[in-house]
Amino acid sequence: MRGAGLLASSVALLVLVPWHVHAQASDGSSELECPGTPPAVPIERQLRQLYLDLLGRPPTIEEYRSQGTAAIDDALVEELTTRDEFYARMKSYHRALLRANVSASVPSSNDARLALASDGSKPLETRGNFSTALRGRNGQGCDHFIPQDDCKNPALQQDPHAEGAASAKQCRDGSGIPLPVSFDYDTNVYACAALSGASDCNDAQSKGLLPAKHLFFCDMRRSTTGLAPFLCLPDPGKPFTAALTNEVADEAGRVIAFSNPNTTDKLERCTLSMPARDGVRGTFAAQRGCVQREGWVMAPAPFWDKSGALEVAACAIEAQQNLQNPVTLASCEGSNFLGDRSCGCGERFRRCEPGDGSVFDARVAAINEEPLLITDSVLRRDEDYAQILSTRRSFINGVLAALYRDNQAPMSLAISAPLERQALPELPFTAPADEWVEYTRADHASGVLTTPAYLYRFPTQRARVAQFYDAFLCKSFAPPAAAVTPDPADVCNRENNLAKRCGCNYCHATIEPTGAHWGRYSERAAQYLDPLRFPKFDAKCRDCALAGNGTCDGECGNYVMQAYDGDGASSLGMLKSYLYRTVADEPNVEGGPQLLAQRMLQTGDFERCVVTRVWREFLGRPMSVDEQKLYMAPLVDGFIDDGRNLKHLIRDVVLTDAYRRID
Amino acid sequence: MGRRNLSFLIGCALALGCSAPSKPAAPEIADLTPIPHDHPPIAALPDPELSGGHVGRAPRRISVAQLKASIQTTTGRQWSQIDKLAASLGSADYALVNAEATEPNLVFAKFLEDGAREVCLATAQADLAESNPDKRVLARDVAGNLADLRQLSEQTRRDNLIYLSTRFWGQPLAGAELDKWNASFKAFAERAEVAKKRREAWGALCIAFMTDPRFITY
Repeated sequence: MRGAGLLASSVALLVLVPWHVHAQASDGSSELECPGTPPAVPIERQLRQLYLDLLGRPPTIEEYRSQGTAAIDDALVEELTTRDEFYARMKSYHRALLRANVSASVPSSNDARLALASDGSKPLETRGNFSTALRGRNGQGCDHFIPQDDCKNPALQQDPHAEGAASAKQCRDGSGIPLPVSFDYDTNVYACAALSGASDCNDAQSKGLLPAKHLFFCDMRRSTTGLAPFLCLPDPGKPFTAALTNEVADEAGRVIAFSNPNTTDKLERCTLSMPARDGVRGTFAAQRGCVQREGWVMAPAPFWDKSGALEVAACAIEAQQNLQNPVTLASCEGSNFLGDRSCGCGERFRRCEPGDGSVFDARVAAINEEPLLITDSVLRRDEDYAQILSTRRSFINGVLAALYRDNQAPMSLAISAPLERQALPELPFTAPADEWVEYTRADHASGVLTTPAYLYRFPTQRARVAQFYDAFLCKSFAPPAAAVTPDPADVCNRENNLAKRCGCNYCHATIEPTGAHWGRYSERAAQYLDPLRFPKFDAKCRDCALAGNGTCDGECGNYVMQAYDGDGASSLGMLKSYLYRTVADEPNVEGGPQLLAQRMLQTGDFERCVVTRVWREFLGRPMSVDEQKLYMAPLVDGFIDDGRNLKHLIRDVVLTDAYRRID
Repeated sequence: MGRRNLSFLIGCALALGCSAPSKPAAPEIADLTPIPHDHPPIAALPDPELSGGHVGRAPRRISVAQLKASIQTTTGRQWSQIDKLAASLGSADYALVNAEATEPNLVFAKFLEDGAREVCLATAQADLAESNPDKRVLARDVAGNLADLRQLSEQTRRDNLIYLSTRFWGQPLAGAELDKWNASFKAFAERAEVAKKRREAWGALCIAFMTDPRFITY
């Protein structure tokens, strides 16, 4: 195998090979040949270059033979740019231009994934970090052996010696929230020793294996062979539990707690009751040192299930469908739903995902594809290329439709529905992922600039501006060569407004007001801040800020809640996008990306940038200064005269004499 | 025709100073009107020195997507590992890597050789089982069954090599290079028939075409 040296020498060889000169003019008449004309480059090679550039593949042997020795003409280029392969090639071009991949930009959904047993026999359950809030320990699921609503069945009791009468057990509280049906001592806190030779705790006590006073700390623990008794006592190997030397007994002399004689630290025996968290009714906190499990129930099959099953087994907590905590009325539609024992995964498990990550991957793929379909539709319809930045037209598949319609994935994705939910196309999640339906988004939508792909890939207003300038204006932000670095002691270094801070203002004087066009889209999310719900000024948020409640209980995340200077103080309770904005900047917030796209078209920079990018894409290098004098104006003028038709521009570029020459 | 020749002769005469040598002629009023000609207008070329040495399209290595499509188009089958190796071959994911790498490097060359071996040997095997030349990939210009390769005529070998170079590179072999490839193919054929591994002769030829720089640059 020849290596890199050969490859490099080949490129050098190609440089020396003279390129073909027109054998025929486009009207078919022969052109005059000057003396000394270099030998023609074979037509096959021209054809290969054109096919690879326009279609992303070389010609087939049949296409080589069909072309014969005929020169490449406008008709061939025109025909190639109508093929599906050309549109696929242009989708790749736009994928690169828009960097349309949010896989590294959206938060993981691991905690909301439901573990699946390999044999499918175990109930769906979350075992992530939120298990501590739900069951007392990370990584713990529910009790797989006790149906939640059969918890009073004496035959199913795990620790009858400590639970009391089965008939007295309570399967759910007054609001229907499932209560624990079994418990285990947490081995992070307790050291548990097997009571070998006994079948249960009472048997162990009768055989003298278990001191009578420690009956409540006898734990029936489940293993692959079934339930077996263990004596669990505070772990002497850990400083906190080793200090719990004082045994607190009930009137019968049985130990009910271990306490520290010098402090108030205490470990109480595990039971099936859960105290209220911080004393707030309607909340639950697992007992310290205890794993308290609820049972399982049969629930409607999850939305991703394609097996046709109507019901599946699921843990009783996850199977709940509450919209809010029935007592505290806290919403279950936010990212904290998993930490609230009363919420559950919602109808058909819409808030959760399967453990294999397939739903997450499908959502990311669909989000990535949407802007490419918008650009593709503009090209296919021969529309003004600027439409990719302003059209309200978009496309939706089953994955996205279910995401928007059913308010799925609150744990990982914060995306506003692009249209009223009831007006979205009716597509089930299980519809084929490549089945896309065209629809019109709400009136604030603006081409690719408001798609979740763009908003998540460029998560801050500044990032969105930088990408916009780079991709569509071919400009980047950098201080000028003559930029002056301010003296560190200069008071202007303490200016909080970057548009004014010396040194920063070289770029941010443009970035900050331009970024305001995304002022109604939250950062690090794809949420539209509807003026009806998020007014420019919210008195409640201001009052919270003045009262020192910096988050206003989670309701004012998009508002200015802290002040670092006079401008900040006067902006308390304002949408963050208005902070440091002048009166002249404020229309940018309300005009949104649509206004930015309109302004862009008034400068001519967009057209020049498109020509620059297409030239670089097809000639493999930037347009030189000398070439700009020759080609830029005609190509830009042609592009504008053609109604900014990108296909026509590409045809013009590949028909230039520069494209037909090889360096 | 006549007018053009006449213009040319007049031009030559003016350029070479063709005139009667006998006696100095009286000074004449110079006619500075350009001599008419029918040569089409010539667009000025950019000065390479002002264009970083460039006057046309820059040759480059094909991208991973183009490589994938090229393998499928030229051999009718796909390299099973190409998606798995795409990142190593230079493909960008636009999440963490934002630019496609198209440098011709050793990693690319090494993996491409692996891919060529997989694809070419499978293609050669399929060709040997195909009696219809039009349905073959590598031996389309060889009539009938693919029997003893040593029996192929000189012309058949050459025609098939020109066909393959067009198929793989878009550059038909000719001249001394065609002679060299012909000699190599003869050597492959000799060894393959002796070793009774006819598939490897066609496979080796295919690998040579696919790992040639002309396959991966354009």
